[in-house]
Amino acid sequence: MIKNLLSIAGLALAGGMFFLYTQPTYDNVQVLKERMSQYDQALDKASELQQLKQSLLSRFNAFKTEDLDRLRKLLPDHVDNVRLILDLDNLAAHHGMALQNVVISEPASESGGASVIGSIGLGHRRFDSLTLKFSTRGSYEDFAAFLGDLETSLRIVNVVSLGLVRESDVLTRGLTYRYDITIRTYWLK
Amino acid sequence: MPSASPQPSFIPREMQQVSVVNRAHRGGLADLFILISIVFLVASVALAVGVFLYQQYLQSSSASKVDQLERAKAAFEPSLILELTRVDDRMRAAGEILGGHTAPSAIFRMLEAMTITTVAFRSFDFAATESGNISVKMDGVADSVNSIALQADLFSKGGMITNPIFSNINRETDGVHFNLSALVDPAAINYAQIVSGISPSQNAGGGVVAPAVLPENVSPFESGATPPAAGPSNPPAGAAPPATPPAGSN
Repeated sequence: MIKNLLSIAGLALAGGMFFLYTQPTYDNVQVLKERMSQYDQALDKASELQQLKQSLLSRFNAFKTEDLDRLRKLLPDHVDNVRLILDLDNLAAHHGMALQNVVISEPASESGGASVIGSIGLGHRRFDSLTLKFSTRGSYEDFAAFLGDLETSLRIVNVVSLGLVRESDVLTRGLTYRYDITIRTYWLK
Repeated sequence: MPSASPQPSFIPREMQQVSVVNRAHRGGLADLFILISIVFLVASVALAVGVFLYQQYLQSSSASKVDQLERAKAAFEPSLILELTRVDDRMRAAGEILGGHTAPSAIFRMLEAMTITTVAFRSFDFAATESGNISVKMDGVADSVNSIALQADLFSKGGMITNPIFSNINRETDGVHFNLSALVDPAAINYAQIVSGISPSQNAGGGVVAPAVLPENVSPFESGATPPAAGPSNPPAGAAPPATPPAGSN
């Protein structure tokens, strides 16, 4: 009788140990093994990325600091419209003209673009833009030189609209014109 | 003679023998059960110990790998990666913007090269839309309708201006006034193409016999038309009289 009780107790203990500890622990071990496999993959990927980083870093170090500065001026981190207006005014003054009636629009991302298609396209862009409208007066030759400098300036601006109306200059008795210009300027988001 | 010892039990001797045999059988079965239970118990304990040790090994190994990953992450220098990504974004965006950068001065150079001396423009409106369409509208005055026709012919052959439409042609005291609206070929004023020398604006007027055009760098807005009273209009040499009035003429 005691032997029977002992054998039943032994079997119950064995079963209880298996089902209450061994099996859940084994399930946990499986999860751990899967996690280990993911860690191994991540470490392999990290090794590849480290090599890629080294190659990119060597390419980045090959860039001249001046070139990177020029690139930053070409497409700045912020709109910096005051600096742009100052630069434009200096450029105009260099050709004997002056900026008047400067009006700045909202950024394209905030105004939603000119059309539905435009606003969809803007979401994917890495850069934002706004338009800046101004007027100036001067001779055709001065304006042509100003426009040429504007097109080749390091800070990229695109002429969106340009109006030219003939005016006579009483003082110099020469032909002068009024120019209404809208330009679009860009910056990195 | 009676038997030496009396029978101590009421149970028959045969029955006792059967009971002993049964007890022996039961005892063997119980031993087997005990053996089986011991085997199961030992196996279960061994499995539990094995699984416990393996779990401990995996946990320590996992912690080690997490540590390695943390070190690998730190080795990436997130600030450097951010800077490299920023430079990459800047270069791509700059390339995209430069690809669409326009040089409207090419239109003025074309006008300087292709405006005949008997035509002068009084105003100029340039508009570039988001979709890439570029249009120009100009008001001008010519000394005759023939001059306007010749100018339309030159613009058509130039390549930069497409669909030039001359309209509102009115003869007034100071000449023949007209309006011009046209589309501009975006490739012709694309800055990258102009710089690389493959834009049609580089040879604006090239291949076109442009008689009596303005001297280079002279404003197309200042060459005055000869008033009709000053004499008959003289189309420049080589200018053919228009077979049909220009589109939109009144």
